[in-house]
Amino acid sequence: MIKVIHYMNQFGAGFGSEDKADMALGSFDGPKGAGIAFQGFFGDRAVIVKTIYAGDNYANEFKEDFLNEAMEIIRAVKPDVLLAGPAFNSGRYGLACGSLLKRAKEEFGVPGVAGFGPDNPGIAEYKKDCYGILTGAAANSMRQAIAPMAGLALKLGGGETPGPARQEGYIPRGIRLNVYTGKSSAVRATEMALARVAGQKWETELPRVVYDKVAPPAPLADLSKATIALVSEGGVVPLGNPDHMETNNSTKWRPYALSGDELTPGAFEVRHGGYLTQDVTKCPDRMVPYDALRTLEKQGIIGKAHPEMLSASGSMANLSTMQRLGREMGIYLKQKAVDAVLLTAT
Amino acid sequence: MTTPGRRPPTPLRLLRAAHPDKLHAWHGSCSHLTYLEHPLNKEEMIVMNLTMASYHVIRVEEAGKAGLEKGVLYLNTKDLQGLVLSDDRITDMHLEIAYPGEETRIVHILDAMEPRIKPEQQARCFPGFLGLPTTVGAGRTNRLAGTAVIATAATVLLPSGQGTGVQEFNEGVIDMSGPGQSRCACSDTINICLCMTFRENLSTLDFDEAARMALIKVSDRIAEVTLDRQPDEETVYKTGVIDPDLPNVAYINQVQSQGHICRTFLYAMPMEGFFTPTILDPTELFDGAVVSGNYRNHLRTCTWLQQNNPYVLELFRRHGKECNFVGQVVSRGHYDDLGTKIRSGNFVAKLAAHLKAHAAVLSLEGTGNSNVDYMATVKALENSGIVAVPVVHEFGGPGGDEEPLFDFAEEAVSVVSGGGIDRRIELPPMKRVIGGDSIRFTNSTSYNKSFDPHQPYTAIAHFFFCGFRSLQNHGWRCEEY
Repeated sequence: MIKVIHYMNQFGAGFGSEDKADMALGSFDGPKGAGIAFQGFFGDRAVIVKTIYAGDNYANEFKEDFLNEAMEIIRAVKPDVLLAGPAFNSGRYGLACGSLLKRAKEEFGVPGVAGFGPDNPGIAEYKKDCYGILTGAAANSMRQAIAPMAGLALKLGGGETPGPARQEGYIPRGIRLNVYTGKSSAVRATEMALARVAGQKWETELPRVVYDKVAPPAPLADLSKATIALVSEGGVVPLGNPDHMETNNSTKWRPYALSGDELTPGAFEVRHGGYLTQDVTKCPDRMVPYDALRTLEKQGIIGKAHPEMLSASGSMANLSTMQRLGREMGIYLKQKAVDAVLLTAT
Repeated sequence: MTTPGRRPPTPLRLLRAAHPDKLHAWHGSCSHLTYLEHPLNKEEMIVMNLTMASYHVIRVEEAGKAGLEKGVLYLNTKDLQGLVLSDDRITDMHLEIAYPGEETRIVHILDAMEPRIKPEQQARCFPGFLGLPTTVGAGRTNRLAGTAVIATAATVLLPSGQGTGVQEFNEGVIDMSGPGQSRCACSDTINICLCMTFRENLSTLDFDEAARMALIKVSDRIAEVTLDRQPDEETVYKTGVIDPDLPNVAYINQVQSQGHICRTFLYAMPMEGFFTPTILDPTELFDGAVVSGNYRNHLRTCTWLQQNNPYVLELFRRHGKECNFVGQVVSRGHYDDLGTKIRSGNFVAKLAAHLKAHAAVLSLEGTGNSNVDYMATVKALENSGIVAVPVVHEFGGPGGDEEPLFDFAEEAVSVVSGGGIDRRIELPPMKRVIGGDSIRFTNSTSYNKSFDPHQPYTAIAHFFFCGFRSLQNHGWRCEEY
């Protein structure tokens, strides 16, 4: 028999509404409120052994206490799956559901299902950490939420891995995995093109990707006093590639000390899989223009040429990996009191 | 779709025997002369009309004499060795045959081709490499269906591990069975592997050219067995508007050509530099008008895949029934800056409009930088009122929870996912390895470590021959979880 723990807020558990939002975490044996409807759906396939509840303020303002107390119960009961909510559009409730399911998954590997209304902030915050079922905005849509939440909980509690979001009906978690369709891309592309031309419905297989826009910082007040560093994704590394920098699909960056007035030809090589690198191998300054930077320093146009280059290979890299590299480089350069970077790319 | 008033084909082999000195003159005829001699009427001269004769092969055997009997293809090993070793840049060649389903892994692959030959004398397959670049895609072509000739090198004499960027040999293997089989090209054909040893200290230019010419010559020679035989199957291909009530669909074939070692040839001419998108009849692909010299094995489209381009075959399958397949535009990616990328995309859209396309299906060879050209093309097509359906390979990291693409046009509203290239799979060990004793990859998962290709390993699409394209062709996609 699949063992389930159900989490609700003070309202769902029948204590009262906003006036009880500060109440601490507690629990019942067996189902309560929406849990009774879940248990009805389960029949003898699963049993709600405990119901945990807490006030919404308590769950959010004393989040660590709330989570620790909840985890103690989960540790003792050892459920196969968790249910939370449905929270509908109640923001604090949704965040409490998500944080609890996230922690339980991290600590015990127990999967969980939550119900979120379309505007619940819990979706953006926790969709990756649990299976969210989209419900109506308010509690009057409770009945419609029961079957999809309970159905998915049965699957997870039984050790099954649910199929894709659009088949199973949960909120997409931003995880894209390979599935075998049995139809080549040529067939599917042609079918999609013909459907669109005929004015029929079609569904893109990759929804639009929207990227972050980075606001540029304020301009330098005085370039002649500024320290400028060179950062490049062009893959220039010391000869022999001492840090085993990767050519493609890379995961790291390194700072390399520079001296003299240029990058000495022959002292560097290029680890980059995306461009013709011979010219840079012959003259590494053309990727990392330290010669020009030193000239500007001598002319007093810039304050100081930072005597290091930060190097990485951007060839076939993951965007989020590159974002991490950028953040790490930013922290590093701040520590070195660098005011601006010259970023060269391929 | 039948061809009227055809002059009976003269076997090329007989012609060669009878007039060895004239062969060059025939191939040397410039294209309008070829057309004047062509038996078709003027209307049909303009639209390509190709009869593809398929000879099905179910077994391949080495023998003292070439032949084709009841589906068994006999290879004259000595003759093929002589042909390959006539180029003194190659010092040794032996054959190995691999069948689908075997526990076999093929490594150190340079390219793959399907043996094809044109029995009439006007043009030859792989134009520009064999004879002058006479226009192909019309007349008749014989193919040995179900086979591929695969060039491998005992030691890949390309710069490798020396920090040479895009001009680096990227290993990409073929698994003839197991979970890798549906993730690489030429894993469901009978593979005739030319295992070659090259002279030491060759320049990369010489190595590349010798490898390609050996493969082309062998493909051509093997296909000669079809010349005096009846095919098992004949298909006539002809693009154009068959039924004006059907939508017109074009195919946009974006290839990768960034320079020597990472290059695609169009009628034997490299496509990088000032290349501007152009119209190519899809049947010209069947005859080897596009040849791959791209040793970035994981993301390439090998020559076999251009000869058997799945997009072209699919559009022909629906041609005259659900759509009119009106033609193909070939373009390339990796233009130098945003302006030239937009320019290229606009040229594609303009040519697709000239083809009177209502919709276009697009495929991409290359990645990253080339994806920007690809999206610029989608944007230009959609803004010209042409429905664009691009097929993309996705990034996203091993867990699939990172960004799937680096560039995305908001006009790309109908995208086909070709699967995530960095999701991992476990490959079993293989009993037999063809092509070399050790392999080495250049990406981060197993950076630069050499290992025995018999052993099991954790793979991503970067490990396979035509890995990115093969996920798509075999029917993989990403689904949101």
